[in-house]
Amino acid sequence: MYKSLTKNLDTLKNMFASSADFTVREMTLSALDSINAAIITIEGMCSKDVIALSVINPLLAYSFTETSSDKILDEIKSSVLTSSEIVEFNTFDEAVMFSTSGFALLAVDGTDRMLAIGVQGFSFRSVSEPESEVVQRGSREGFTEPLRINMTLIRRRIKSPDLVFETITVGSESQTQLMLCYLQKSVSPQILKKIRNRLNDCNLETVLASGYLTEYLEDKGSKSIFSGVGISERPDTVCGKLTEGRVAILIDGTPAVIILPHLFVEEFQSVDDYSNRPYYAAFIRILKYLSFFIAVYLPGLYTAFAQFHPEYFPTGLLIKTSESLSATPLPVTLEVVIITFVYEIMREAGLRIPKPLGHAVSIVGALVIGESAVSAGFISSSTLMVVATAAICSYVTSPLYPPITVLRFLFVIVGGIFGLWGIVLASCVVIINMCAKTSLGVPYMSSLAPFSLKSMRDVFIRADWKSLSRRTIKVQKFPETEDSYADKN
Amino acid sequence: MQTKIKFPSKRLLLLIFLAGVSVILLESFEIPKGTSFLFDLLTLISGFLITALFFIPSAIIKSRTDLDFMSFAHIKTPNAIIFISAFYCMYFVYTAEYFLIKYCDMFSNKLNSEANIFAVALVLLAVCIYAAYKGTNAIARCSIFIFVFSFIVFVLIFAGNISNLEINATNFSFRGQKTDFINNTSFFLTPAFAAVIFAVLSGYTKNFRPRQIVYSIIITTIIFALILFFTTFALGEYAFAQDYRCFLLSKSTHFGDLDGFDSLYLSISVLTVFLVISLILTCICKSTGKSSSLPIILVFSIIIFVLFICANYFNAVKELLINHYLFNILTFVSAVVIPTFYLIAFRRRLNG
Repeated sequence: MYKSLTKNLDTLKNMFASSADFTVREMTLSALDSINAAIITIEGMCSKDVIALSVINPLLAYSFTETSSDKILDEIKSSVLTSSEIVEFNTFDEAVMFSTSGFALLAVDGTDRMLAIGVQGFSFRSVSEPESEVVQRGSREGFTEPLRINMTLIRRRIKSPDLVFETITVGSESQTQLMLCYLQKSVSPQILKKIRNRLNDCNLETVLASGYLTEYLEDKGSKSIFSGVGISERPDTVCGKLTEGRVAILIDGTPAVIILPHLFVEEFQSVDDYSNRPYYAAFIRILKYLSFFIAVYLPGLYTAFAQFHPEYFPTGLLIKTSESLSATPLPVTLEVVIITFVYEIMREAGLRIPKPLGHAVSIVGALVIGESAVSAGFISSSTLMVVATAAICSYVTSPLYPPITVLRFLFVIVGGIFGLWGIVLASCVVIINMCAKTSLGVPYMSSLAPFSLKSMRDVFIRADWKSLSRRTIKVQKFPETEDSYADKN
Repeated sequence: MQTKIKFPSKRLLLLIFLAGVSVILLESFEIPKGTSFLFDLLTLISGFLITALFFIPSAIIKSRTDLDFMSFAHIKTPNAIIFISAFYCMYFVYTAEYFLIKYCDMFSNKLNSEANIFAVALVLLAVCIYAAYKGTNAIARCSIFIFVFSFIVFVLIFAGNISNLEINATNFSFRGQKTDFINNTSFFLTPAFAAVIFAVLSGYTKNFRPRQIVYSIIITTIIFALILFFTTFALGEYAFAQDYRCFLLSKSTHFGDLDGFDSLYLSISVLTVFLVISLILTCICKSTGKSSSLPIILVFSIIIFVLFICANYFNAVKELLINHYLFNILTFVSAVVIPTFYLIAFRRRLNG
């Protein structure tokens, strides 16, 4: 930086290309010789009231006894400003970083240093319950967009000095701040190192959401339609994962927090499981696994049985189904594909259109497309029922919705072409793919394959808290993870 | 794609058990009509006792050196390894062909006679190529799910046939010829090919205990014995005139009015054959000194498919490829003769 205030201001103005939100409040400080100073802010990022009360008023009211600009700056820092967060810096890069983060910059003529004063006051969404992870019992708090608030939500739940937040900046243009969050004593150093390396290798220009980073965090050579990166908007879920040795990545500007490593069985766990009684939690878990299988396989099996193996239907059902199918003009495979496709279109439309119009879409979907198509004989009622049942089941494990949708189509097409034989072979491909997948060196199918009896207390069932609390199994201690292997050898 | 992580050797034994199950499902039980259940059981036990012996040389190498046979041979005779590799690759191609032909025969005979078996073989091979490319560890993990599914299917098949049982006291008398004994024992030796798979892939495993092999063989024997028991007493005389008795058992399975369990037979037969051929492809990779190489897998898969086409056009080729006497001899050489030769030749330097 320069010693001249004018030069510094000109440089910053040039850097921000005289942007409309770049504001400079120039002033003269009362000292033996009047000294020029300026407060630089980005409009909307700072609280004007706080700037006026804790920066401008004290500065203008104070009579400086020192004559040197450097000493005046020290005096301002130690005796004048009432703000709790004041950082000194001397580069233009830091000036850009602080100003875009909501700090007010104080520049004094005659010194090549500046002060960044914490007066952040931008508007943001308040802490509210995340709509995608609603629970019956438990906290109603969800993450919000500002990073610092999300950090607070975690810190409030884990009041331990073990909890570490580590800052990383990604995105050459967006300069998005990330916070690696972990428990020092629980986390595996190898896992942490891998995450740091992968984030440092990220060469994106902008990072606006968690989805931008997930592909960089996946293990190389384990391509799959299932994700090895977990996402949650709930602080209680993230805290639970942290205690198991996982790492959370908080991203400034998004409420979706990345959790690593992420396993298949975690998709079936929810906060409610740990609030409910163990027997009911176990029942819900089994229900979720069954729903997953129904959502993936039911339309495909229906297609395969109806087209190739009608003898597998019980007699009563066979009569009803064949009556229903024979009355429609399309082959059963095409019928299932079309109905599933139409359902996906309606779902997507329902998500995107304004809420008041949602009811209209429901009516059109249910009455016009559903009932009218059946009564007109375009589609069979049994097919509609199968697709509807699969669709409802897919929402039971909502984080798995994307892979479920793709697999459902795959099995319908394979079942329609090759019958049950094709479905079994396609299942082999999917299972092999899932078994070969790893998340930061931890097998994605851990607890099931490789099988771990100890972990079974929280897979198909949820054991009671007395046995769960006996020992928390750290994620790096799962069988056949790269870290546990390295430890033993 | 093969990871450097070793997996527990009991999982490899689980694979071996499933390989045995594939034999149960695909073989047509060439048991002579005049024999009794006790006689068949005795031949079954003798067959599996010999099968257990097939594992001994490679089990010794594994427990003394923690190496599989191919790695051991590579270290001890680096100049001769090309011949050993060539022989084992040939053996594995033969084994893959054996199972592919058996499976496609069963498919066209029992499930869909109009199906194009070349397409069936091609699709099956394509899936196996993908699995072999993903490596032994992924296949071994996948075997856990297939084991659970197979277990449920066998429980259903046996439970659903209990009501059909008609215990015939004459079948408990000891009745059979010496030639029948040799034939049956030879048939029950078919699962011994798993000893060669163990010899080649045991290097990927850890915590090996010889008793794991014993348990695996005992469980396979029990499943075989139960199939034998149910086919003898639930299907009776009808079974002797038919092929694929396990298929017949699955067809006769019923719980009240609920039947149609042959779809489950179809499922486990394709699952186990998929496992066996995938394992064989990884064994071929290992025999060539690569842990998992897509070009090698592709080249050998093409050879297997071309051979399959030849077998379907030339009956003599087919007879040769599914001759279980020849299969057993080749298995004996691969699992016993060559590893034993190495054990004797390098007995003093076994730990070196």
